[in-house]
Amino acid sequence: MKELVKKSRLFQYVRYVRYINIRYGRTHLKGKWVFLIMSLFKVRVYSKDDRFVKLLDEAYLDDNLLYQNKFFYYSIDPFKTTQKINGIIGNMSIDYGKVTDSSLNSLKENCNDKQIEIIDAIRKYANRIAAFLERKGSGDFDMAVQSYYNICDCKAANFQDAIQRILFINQIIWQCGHRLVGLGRLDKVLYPYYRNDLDSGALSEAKVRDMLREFLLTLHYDYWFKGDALSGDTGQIIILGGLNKEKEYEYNELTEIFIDLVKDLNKPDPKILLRVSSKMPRKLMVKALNCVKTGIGSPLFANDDVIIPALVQYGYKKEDACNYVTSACWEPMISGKSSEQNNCQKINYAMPLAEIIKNSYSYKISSYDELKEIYYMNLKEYIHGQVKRIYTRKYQEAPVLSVFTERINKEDISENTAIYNDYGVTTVGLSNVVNSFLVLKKLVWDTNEYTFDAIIKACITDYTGNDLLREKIKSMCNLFWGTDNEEVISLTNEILEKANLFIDQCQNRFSLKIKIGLSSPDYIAEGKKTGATPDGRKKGEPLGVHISSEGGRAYTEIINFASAVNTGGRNINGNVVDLMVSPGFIENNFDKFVDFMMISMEVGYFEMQMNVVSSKVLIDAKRHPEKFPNLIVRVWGFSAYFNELPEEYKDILIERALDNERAA
Amino acid sequence: MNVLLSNIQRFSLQDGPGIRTTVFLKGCWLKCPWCSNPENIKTCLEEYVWGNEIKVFGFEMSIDELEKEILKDKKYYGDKGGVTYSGGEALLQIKSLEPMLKSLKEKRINQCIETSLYAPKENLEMACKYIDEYIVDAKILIEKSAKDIIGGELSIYLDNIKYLANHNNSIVLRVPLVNPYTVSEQNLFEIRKLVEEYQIAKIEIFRVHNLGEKKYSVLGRTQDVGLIIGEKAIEEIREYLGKEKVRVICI
Ligand code: SF4
Repeated sequence: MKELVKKSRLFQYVRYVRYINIRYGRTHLKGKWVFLIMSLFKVRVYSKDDRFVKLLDEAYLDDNLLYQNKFFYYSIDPFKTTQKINGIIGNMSIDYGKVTDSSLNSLKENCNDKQIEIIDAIRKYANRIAAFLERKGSGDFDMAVQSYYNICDCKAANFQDAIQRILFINQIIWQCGHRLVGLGRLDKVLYPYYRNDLDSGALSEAKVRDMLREFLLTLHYDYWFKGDALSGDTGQIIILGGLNKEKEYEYNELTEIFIDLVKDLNKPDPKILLRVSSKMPRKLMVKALNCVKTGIGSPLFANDDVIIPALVQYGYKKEDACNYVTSACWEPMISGKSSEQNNCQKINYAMPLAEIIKNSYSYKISSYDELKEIYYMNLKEYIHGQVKRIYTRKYQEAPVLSVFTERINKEDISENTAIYNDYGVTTVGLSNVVNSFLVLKKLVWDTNEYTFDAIIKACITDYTGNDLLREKIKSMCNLFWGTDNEEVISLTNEILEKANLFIDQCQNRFSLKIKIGLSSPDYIAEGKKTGATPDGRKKGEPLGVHISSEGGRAYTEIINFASAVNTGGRNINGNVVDLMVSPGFIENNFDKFVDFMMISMEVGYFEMQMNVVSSKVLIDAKRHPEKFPNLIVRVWGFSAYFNELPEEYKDILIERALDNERAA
Repeated sequence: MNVLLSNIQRFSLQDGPGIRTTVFLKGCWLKCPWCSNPENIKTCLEEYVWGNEIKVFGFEMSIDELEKEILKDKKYYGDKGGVTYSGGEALLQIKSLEPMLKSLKEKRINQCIETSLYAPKENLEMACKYIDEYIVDAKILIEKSAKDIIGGELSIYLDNIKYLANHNNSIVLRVPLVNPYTVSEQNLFEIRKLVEEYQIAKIEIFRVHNLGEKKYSVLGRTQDVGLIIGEKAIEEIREYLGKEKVRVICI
């Protein structure tokens, strides 16, 4: 026990080092000291040109899982990492099909010297692990030993080998400092091996389940280490099912097994995303809902009927669009062909509005159209500024990821050599702007109930002494964002269109395209920087994100709204409908809820996730965390243990649950 | 033509088959002590005080607008779902709704009514031309108690249900479980008699909850949901009324 405490404390240091590294790098003063001190604790940060090779040569081999696991070996040495020089490419998935279906040596053909060096280093590392396992003399791991010895020379021999290889390469990616790396379409990748072994009698269905269970638990093992901005934000997402080029819905037994296992394991990570379509069989949706209704927050639903055409229209090749996966959470990208950095900048729609309010004395606004005009002027300037910053970003080389990514030449993906290299921007606050505009329109110009100045003044004073007005505004907003009112929809699309246009204007000089999406992790951080807005939101309060169920809006209405919002053009970087659902609601109305899900795909939402939880449980868990060690919630695009969230995130969830129940 | 409503609830899953929109029409002849929508009883707008504000229960809406609202969720209705008229007593304003009922019938939208049947017979006769499904309350079927407790003339109810049973076979009987008013031995006997007489195939029973408490207090009234009924008692009632016919619902 003592050992464990000591170890976990050390782990905290390690986390801190990683944080400093990512934030400042070693050249920063703060970084320098931390690294100096940490070197006393055997922490090593490699910085030379051969840093990846060195790192793999020296990574310590952990034996913890050896005693716990029956089939697979996995080890990350958290004390060793590479120094951050420029941005580290992450937030993407590689195509693990390349790991299972080819030998590493065969990949050398498309590699430059640096990448060949890395492949050799991987071979050495693999041999070292094989020898280590042999030395440990545990007969159980014979198969794993073979996997490690053969990874360079042959393709995977069977199901178990395929999984062991995936784990091995996954471990290397984490080891080399890449964050938020997804797992891709594993039901598809693993299926041939599964089928083969089952047909030949080498494996039974039960054993397959055992292996996949261990696979998921192994990926979950370093949960504390893998979390990014928040614990739970690991990016370990498995993509299941989906339409193929012929527009047929494809899934298999492994799709179902993955869903079953995630439901039974009741762990927040790895998480699953189910690509859905109105062509999918109802029974698969039933399975997925049985998983969601446990409250685990997974799977996220991505609607192929909408997403694939949008990707094609944007410019992805048809066959690639059908093979989309997502970055850590919800941003579509192409399996094995993208190095797209889909979360590299944010747009806060409310920021330019807050600026107008702050400087209201310098504007003369006497009509709704004038207000919009001035807002768009400000928005334009703001977006141009944000976009410019994207183009000054530099990424450091990523030889490991490069090896497994299809490229136009042999160079590193940090040189934009992947087939797709576009950037993705996430956005917050659109709902606040839409609601603010409509509040002003109604109160000032339609009914003359208030003057423009009076409402602006209320915002400047953060609604002090204006509780009544604020309450009135808040209840008005229930009729705006997220409803299928035509005025709301057309205003939303108008703003999106402007944002697209302003991005276009920056694009002439550059070749890489920029996508935007309605979902973002930054609703709290950006909210803190943004002054009060005319939708009743006080200074510093979180901004709106996703398309959320608020004010007890009927789910059908939210889906209608989401489907009417333009998700074409550049607007493909993730658009999640985020539903709060009372426990028991799905259960008590199961068949009808399945109907709703099946029809919703036809109506045409982009993506959907659900938090199935009651305010009572959340409030209790906030007060008595010890009673709910395993309570899982959906945060922005991932699931996490409620107890590990910062208080403000807990409060938001409680507020949303209460809101949902009040309306019921 | 305008109607007086108290609410429109979309994605309503407990008021008839499929996914539905439930329209709550204001106005009712009865005064059930357990009524969970007391704001739906009066046939006029009702002001009440909420914090520092004066608010109003109820709003008027033209039937054109109402139809538009109902059609917003058309895609979700499928073959089974549609619209349910509830209340209050939906039959009381049904004449004003007639052009819309007709239009929705032409559009093949399934129409259901949730009714106490305490309403003029001619209203019911008119409704029968358009309505596909009936959810009919069975509250107190003892003449004197009906008058004393819910303020209703039982003969109106019996007359109407007879007419309905002869003209439409899609009746679901809905029984609120209020101890002792509706679950007394004699009342249950009368309900069973009714079920047998009209060969009613589906019965829904439900516990009455006091979620309406807040509304009662702002309206200056009190609610009486009766004494607690245990799981075992509910099972016995199911058994008595015919287990295979009875479904316990939560509303
Ligand atoms: S019939 Fe319905 S609306 Fe009328 S009083 Fe009784 S419970 Fe309330």
